Amino acid sequence: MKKNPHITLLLLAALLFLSASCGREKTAEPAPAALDTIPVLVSDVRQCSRLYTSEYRIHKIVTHSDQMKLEGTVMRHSFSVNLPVGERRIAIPMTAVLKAYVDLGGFSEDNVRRQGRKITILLPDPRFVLTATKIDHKGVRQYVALTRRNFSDAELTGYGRQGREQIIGSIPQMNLIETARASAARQIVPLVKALGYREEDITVTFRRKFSLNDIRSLIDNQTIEKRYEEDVQ
Amino acid sequence: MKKTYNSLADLFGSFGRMVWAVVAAVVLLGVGIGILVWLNRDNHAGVTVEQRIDITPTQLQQIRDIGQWEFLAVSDEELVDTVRRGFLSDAELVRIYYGTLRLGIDFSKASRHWFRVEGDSVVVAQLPPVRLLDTDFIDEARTRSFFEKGDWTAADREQLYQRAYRKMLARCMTKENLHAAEENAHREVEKLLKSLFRGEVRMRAAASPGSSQEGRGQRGAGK
Repeated sequence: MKKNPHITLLLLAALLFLSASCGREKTAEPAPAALDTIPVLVSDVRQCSRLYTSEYRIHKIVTHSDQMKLEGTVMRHSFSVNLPVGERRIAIPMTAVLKAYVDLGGFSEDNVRRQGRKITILLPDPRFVLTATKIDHKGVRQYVALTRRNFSDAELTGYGRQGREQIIGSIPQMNLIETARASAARQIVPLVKALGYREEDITVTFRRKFSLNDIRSLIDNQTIEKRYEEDVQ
Repeated sequence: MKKTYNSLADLFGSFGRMVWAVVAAVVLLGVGIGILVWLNRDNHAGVTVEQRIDITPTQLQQIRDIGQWEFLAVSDEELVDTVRRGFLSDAELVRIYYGTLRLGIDFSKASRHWFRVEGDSVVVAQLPPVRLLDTDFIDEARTRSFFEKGDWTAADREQLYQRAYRKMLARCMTKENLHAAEENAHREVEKLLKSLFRGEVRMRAAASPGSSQEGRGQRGAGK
């Protein structure tokens, strides 16, 4: 039987078209799922046992002033020229709440020594944590030259974060350790007294001697929790 | 007047001097350009604005004793936005707030007699209700600006803060979290009392379980 070349070509073309269209159907990507517009939320639940013993309210006015400058280097000579386009100034009052606590999570009989009627309690090292900060929005004062743009929200939050870092950095100079250890003892002693011990028989002890160098070396701006150590006899 | 050369050597000698002069000029020009390029290789210029804040004093305003025993901490982030419709375009502000809600027992607000010693050998403890320890739980200075379009006032930012505050309360002050805090309180208090007291320790259920939420939003949006 003689084959007609035209019919063969037509059949091949139809086959190619069909296979291409079938393949497209098979490989077609599914329609993208609708995006969830609910805000991304993260919450972290942590069980703990912390006895907060003292609270410190801190006030700070964050100030910032900026001047636009043309800065650069020409022929290996640096230059910096103030541009006459005006200045911006801002003052942001903020308060912070700092708390001292002892972590009782690991407290056990190993922390208690008894000698007759006397009892000695070895408390964990006191720590400090910044529990809250609040910006006084009504108290914010700013001056912006006509030629400059207003402070952006990103700039304002950036100044707030820098102010927070300054507060954390100034904790060692506040000499809070004395009040923290005394306050911890004031919280623990009545509890032990109520269990039948006399006040003069109760001794509250912290782990080791505290020094200013300890504070400086133990400051960690990432965790915001500050750890201080001291002996109390 | 046409210059005549006595010999072929004179012709090439004169031509050679010209070539050397041109080569020397080219080399000098190259060296000059090289020196200029080297001197200007670090050239740059730009408009800068200082973003650091000034160093200002930090004042310790108040110190007070507290007796708050925390048993559950819920750290939360809330994305809060606001939109203001405009004639030509809308203004929008989106911020991310951070906060930690601390649940526990505030002994300054609880009865002093939450435990008692019976017969010198038994301690009976009935825990005060677990509540939100502090209504200040947002770390506003950590707030991040996510998106801003248009101008916004201090009042707008305060409103966003209040909305974040209410959202955090609603999300974290749940029955499950309060229950988890109460259970942990039961465990931890019993452990401490057993460490301090040689006799038997009997724990009783919290004074009034339903009252655990009395600390909820005491200040809240009214701040």
